[in-house]
Amino acid sequence: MRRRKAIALILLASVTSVLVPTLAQAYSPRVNRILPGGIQRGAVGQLIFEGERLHDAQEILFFDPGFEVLKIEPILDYVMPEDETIKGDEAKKRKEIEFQAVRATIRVAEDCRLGEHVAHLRTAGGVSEFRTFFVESMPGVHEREPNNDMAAPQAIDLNVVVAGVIKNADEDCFAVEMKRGQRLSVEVVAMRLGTHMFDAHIAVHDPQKKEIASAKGSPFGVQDGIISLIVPEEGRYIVKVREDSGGGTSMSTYRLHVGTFPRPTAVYPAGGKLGESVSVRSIGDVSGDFEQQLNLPSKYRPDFGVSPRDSGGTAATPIPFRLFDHGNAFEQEPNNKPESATAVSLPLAFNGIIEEKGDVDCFRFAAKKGQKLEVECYAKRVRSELDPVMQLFDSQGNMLLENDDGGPVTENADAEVRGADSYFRFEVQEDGEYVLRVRDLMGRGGPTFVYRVELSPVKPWLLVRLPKAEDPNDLYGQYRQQIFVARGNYFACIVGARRKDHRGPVILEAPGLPEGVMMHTMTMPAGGGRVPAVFQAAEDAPLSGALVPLYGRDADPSVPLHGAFRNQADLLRGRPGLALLKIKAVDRIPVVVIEKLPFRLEFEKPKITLLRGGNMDLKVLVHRDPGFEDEIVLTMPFLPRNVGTTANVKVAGDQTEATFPLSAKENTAPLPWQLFVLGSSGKRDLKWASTPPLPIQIARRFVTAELQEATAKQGEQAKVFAMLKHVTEFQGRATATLSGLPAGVTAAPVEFTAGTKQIVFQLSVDGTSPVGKHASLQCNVTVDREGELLTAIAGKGQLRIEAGAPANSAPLVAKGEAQDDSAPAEASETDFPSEETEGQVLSRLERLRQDARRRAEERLSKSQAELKSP
Amino acid sequence: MTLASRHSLKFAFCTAAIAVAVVAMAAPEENADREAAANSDKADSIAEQPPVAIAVYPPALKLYGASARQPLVVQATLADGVTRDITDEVTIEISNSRIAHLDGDTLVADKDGSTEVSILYRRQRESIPLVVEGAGTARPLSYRNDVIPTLSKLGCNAGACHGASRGKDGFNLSLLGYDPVGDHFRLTEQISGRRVNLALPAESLLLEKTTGKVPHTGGVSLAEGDRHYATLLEWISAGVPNDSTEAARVDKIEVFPASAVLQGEGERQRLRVLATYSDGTCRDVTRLARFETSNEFSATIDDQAVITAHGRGEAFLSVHFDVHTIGCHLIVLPAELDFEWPEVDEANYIDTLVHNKLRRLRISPSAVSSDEEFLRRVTLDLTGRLPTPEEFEQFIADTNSDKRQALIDKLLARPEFTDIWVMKWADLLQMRTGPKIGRKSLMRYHGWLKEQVTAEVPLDQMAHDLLAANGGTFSNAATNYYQSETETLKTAENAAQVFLGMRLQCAQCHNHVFDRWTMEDYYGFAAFFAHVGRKPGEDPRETMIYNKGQGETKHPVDRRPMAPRFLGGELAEIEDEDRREVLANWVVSKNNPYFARHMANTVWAHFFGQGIVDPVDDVRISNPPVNPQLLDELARRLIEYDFQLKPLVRDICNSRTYQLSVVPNETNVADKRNFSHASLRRVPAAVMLDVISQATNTSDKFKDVPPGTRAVQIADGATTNYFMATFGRSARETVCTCETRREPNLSQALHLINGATVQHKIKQGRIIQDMRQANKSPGEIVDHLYIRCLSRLPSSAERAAIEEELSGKDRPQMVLRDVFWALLNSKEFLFNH
Repeated sequence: MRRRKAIALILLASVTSVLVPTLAQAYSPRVNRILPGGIQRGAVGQLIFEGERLHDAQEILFFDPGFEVLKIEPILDYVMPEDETIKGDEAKKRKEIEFQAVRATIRVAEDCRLGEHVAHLRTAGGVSEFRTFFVESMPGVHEREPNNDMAAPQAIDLNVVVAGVIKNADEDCFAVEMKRGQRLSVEVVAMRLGTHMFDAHIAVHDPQKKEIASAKGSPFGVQDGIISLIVPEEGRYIVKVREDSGGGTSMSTYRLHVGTFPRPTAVYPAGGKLGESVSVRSIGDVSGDFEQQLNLPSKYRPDFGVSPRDSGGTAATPIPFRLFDHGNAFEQEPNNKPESATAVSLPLAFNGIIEEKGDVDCFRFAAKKGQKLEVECYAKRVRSELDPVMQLFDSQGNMLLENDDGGPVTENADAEVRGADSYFRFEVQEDGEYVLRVRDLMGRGGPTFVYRVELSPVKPWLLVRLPKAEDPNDLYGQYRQQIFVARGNYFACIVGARRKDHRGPVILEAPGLPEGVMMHTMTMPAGGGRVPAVFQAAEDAPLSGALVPLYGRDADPSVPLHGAFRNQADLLRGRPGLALLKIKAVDRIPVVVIEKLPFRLEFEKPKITLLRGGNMDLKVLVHRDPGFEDEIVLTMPFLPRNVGTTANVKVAGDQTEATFPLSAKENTAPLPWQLFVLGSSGKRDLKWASTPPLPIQIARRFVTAELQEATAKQGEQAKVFAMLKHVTEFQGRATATLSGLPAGVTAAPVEFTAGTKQIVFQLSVDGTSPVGKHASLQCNVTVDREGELLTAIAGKGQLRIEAGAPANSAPLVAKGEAQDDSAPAEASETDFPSEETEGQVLSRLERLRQDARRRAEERLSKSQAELKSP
Repeated sequence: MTLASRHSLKFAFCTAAIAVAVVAMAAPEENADREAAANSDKADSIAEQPPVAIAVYPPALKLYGASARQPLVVQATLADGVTRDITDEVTIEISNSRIAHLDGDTLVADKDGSTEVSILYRRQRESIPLVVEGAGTARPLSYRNDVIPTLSKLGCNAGACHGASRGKDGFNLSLLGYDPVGDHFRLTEQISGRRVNLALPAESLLLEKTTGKVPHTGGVSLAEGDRHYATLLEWISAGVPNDSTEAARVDKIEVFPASAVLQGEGERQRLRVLATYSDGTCRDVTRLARFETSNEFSATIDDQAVITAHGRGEAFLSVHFDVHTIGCHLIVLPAELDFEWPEVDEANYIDTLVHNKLRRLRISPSAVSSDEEFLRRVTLDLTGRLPTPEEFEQFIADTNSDKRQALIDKLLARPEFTDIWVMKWADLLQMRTGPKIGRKSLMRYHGWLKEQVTAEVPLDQMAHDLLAANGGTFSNAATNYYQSETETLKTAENAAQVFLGMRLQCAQCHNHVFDRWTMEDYYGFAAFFAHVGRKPGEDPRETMIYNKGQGETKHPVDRRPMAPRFLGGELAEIEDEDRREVLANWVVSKNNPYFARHMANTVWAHFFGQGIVDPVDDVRISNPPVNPQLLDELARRLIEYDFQLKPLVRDICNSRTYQLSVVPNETNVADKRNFSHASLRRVPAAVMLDVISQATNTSDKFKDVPPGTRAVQIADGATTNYFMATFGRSARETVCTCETRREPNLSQALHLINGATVQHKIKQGRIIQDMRQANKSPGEIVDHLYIRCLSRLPSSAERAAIEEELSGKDRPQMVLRDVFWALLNSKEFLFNH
């Protein structure tokens, strides 16, 4: 029913020939996957974006050049395949979602980079998370069922990429005609598609249907297998795909590259100097190694790779290639012993291959005392088979450092992870020669066990990121990793930073924002880790989007600061422990301008000072478009440490304002700050808007008060003494109130002026007030500063109530009194209330103390008397 | 030597100090003598047979120290294999009487030198050399070698007494003295002046408690003046010296005689236990050794190490001293036994060795099974399937004399043979998904195993590859072995149990009470696994197993890091190699005394329902093989076959022993352990489900496996199935063979009678309907069902009963269905026989 209604709307939309009708406008689009997961370069092809609220799609934001979008059109009869792995409540929930899809016709440039790419889809109502797809060198074809039987396979040409799906217990068979001695290469991209947990198993059968090769993963493709062989005889070969253990679901899609292309799995060296031309050897192909000349870009690119190519074609997927600031040095065998280590000089990258079982490579280099070097080994990250272990020795052969797995680049869950690659930081203690030794953890070796060790000086570094969505169940989500700001409105987020070797203040930069969009932020204090970023779109800002390289720079322009924005998408997770199986990280954030929203948020007459220990109520005004009566949920996510407020405020459809009571603890750091309130409305189609930023100052209190412990009897009067300490000057009169009093106890406010040292609260205690100790007393001081009433806790104390005489005496009207310099406190010389204070009831301990003092005094006077007496 | 002269000699040589002790010792012997006299008629009749051999024990006589004593035992073997203790009937002569003298049957050292001792029996004379050393100096009392063994002998440090992990009544000793240093502290210093009184040694609480002067929960275990009392008193008087670290260690113990065949109730045989120490000396420790019998019905042993024969049967006597355990094998035969060995064929060495044992037991093997029985048995055992009606017809019609041999070869070549052994190893290797092994890993692991068995990879290679596995749990699936169990000590225990059939678990906390394994052995063996490194692979579902080259196991008593030591062997010499590689080489080495035997026994047990050592994974000295010669030979053959499974299986299946009928004869009706007849074996759970499906022409669908997968092919032990759980399929949670249960229970019976499986499958398979539609007569259908289920035709009585049921029924289908149901519920169906 729901779907039919949606389709009707879409039909209406297409009739009006406007792609994005106002009626169908949908916010917060989501994209699950890009189908069929690959597109050929140098050709016009189609990609289908599948997800929710996509029919008003306007633009695809690619991270790389080489894509020209010719057309985007909604697919009106799109049926989402059922994911059989999702069961129970989740499946039920999924059934309620209206899935949509749009088809994009794209021209891919001839020189477009091969391999994995990422794209966001921008709609009139937002921008989706990014998803991956592959640019391939060969044309794509679709799998056609039935093709389960080896006797009746689907015939395909050589050098194609088959887009297929393995449903439960499915097997897909493809037949290719081969000549004797021809190279047959098969590479499956399944788990690497990042859309579904799919362990593919591929096999090649000869013309007699006998299996001659199979692969259920490879060191190069991890879970994705590779087969490359020279066919022994002419005939029809069958390539078979299935799930590794015979399973599969409607979501188990794959791309199967079948052809005569070379499939080396390593290049040597696996990196080179920016802007230079290097000769690289492709290793591991069944036809043998071959050389290729490579012109390296002059600027760093994270996804740079080599696509080995020969007369048979281009390898299905590229081999990652490191771009580095410095040149290469190469190992010279024999170098298994420190004595025969290959001598090199810094800074550069050491390159080598652990060529055989038990091989170790040693490099000798000189370093100077005080040098701080990052020693970073690249093996797994350039798809080598090597599991490296690095050891560093001094010239006497003492091992200084050793590392197997380098861990994450920072101590941060979503930072780049080195995996099995080794890393250490070498802080040189004395001038001398050092030996770096590289080996395989398990003592293995082989021609594709390529590695490189990059040595470079330590650089201050800052990683900028947006905290992940609050929903812990949304593990796959990149939701809220996008900025979509509505015309004439604001959108805010928190920008987090992870630092390494840097502490100074940081200024956030966002160059290349879409037209009409500006960013308001504040300087990140030294050592700090978060700032707000409030984006504002002009009323007339065009609907558009851009990928923005959000980054931080040191407030001092002379301090270099490396690092960039990073958003890691957790594409696939598996057991155990929902460990990450497939991730993809990007270095830019999409910022888009969307259609106007039916509401705006604004702080009412903002106050600007919050005292430590103080509190204030911040009122937010909600401007609703006529007819917009949806609930809006407001949050204030960016608060200074030790400042609290309500988690969220729900503004019902008939309400136009909300209040956030803020309270600061006494230990809150006195800092300038910026607040914003973020509002959202809707269910899955959330509309987001924020207030403009509100600069506030956390300030020190005017006075603090030390409350003396007081004792009172039921039905009687008592006094509470508060000793004041002036922290910040103020003009005029201040008002102190006592709160947290037990039932039936009242105390009148006390007014005082600057310079007052002590105030006394007159308590009147009811006959029924609870007996006991009440540690909840709180003295609040309010100062009127130029019309702004600033209130803060000045101090805390306690009151003891003892059982009193039968309560027939009516409580007296409480009246407070101030004791300042001009009117000295009654009977107060020591700034402390004396024990003789009238009407004061003493605690038992105090009475004992006084007794002891009295006895001591008596003894003293007695002995003095004795001394005096002749 | 007459009885009288023996006693007089004994009394003559007694010193005042030990007189009481000897009287105490002599009392039971006097009783024994009286009984022996009563049986003298029988003894005489046996004695009439001239012995074919006379053995004098110990075979080499060495006496160390002043007044060192060595009692002798003389055993005669008669022509029919029966043995007799003739010590009392022989004359002992010492050539040079200055070197040593006789005290009854005991040699006592006098002077250093060497001479000869001659034993005269009837007209036979046996001479053995005697060497006396150190006769000039008394052997000093040793805390480690005298006091601790005394406490063990008295039971003070037994598990039920102060040897309990928390001790008893506030006093704690290490179990059977595994921690002498700690025990010394607890005896002498823990509560100063309480347990031993150095000023008045005889008033030490230790002695007063054991002698009952002071109330003792453990009762009176010692009499004042007893030898053991004297030992303890002497030690306390000497100031409780502690030589626990420097004293000579016991290298080995020997028991004499090591075996005996006793005929007639009341027949006796004395035992002597000799300990050899690390300083090269040896001494008789019979009075300090502890004895246990495995079968009190057949033989008992008293405190003086005298065995008494009772009912017919076999018994194994365990002898414990220090950390050592050895055994003595006994066969007890009735006095009057009219037995003649039938001359039966011997198909191969297995029959020869089984018959050898049966001859000694005076047991005849049963007749050979019928062709029908054999066909069903061997098909079930080798393939986990029932013979199809076609196979049945073909085999029965075959008149070739070697048709059984041909059938075995045919079945061995079937892929189902692989499935059976994959399941078997998968049970032992704990193949199941769990916190450490995900589904993908498990599928790879199971796939690896299947590849090994299919490719007929030798067992030694397989074991080696598992133990020495390095790499990713996906890329080298054998590494999953180290994911089934990740704790070092448990990994070591499992390896010992799976590959060597030994349960080392006890030795984790104390020296093994029933076996030779000490804590040194345990932690030394565990040290091989201390370097197992684990880290996540690139695919987080994968774990990399590697040699991290560091890590130690520590002895819990003194926190000493333990060097890797082969079980029962030497320290391993390891430099840079992977410790597990070294271990794997040792485990599968042809010289390893355990691996081949254990593997052979595991294979054997599959075909006989019990091992030659049983349970197969409980190899210990106190659980000896019932036929060691057979086990040795099977192991030797397995090595000769390069650890290939099939040749050994072929030998077993071709043996007459395997092909025996389950029907016992008069002589072997009581025999359950010597393979004199086939035993009834309940079909294992997975096979049972498969054969029910096969008989009913149905299939099962199990979770996460392709349709058509049979129960025996299920990779994951965690796959749940009500039928299989009821019938005791191994959940593969431990390495213990005991996880696969074969004992029947009520749930099984009820499930078969009322449960969905049988009823539903009979309906679903439509066998009867299809045959009815093919116009088969009820009689033909009944025959078919019998062949399908039981691999035989109905007997005439069965046929008559069914015909009676069928007569006059409009719908024979109901009766036929009942017949089918009855067949599937019959014991004949549920058991392999």
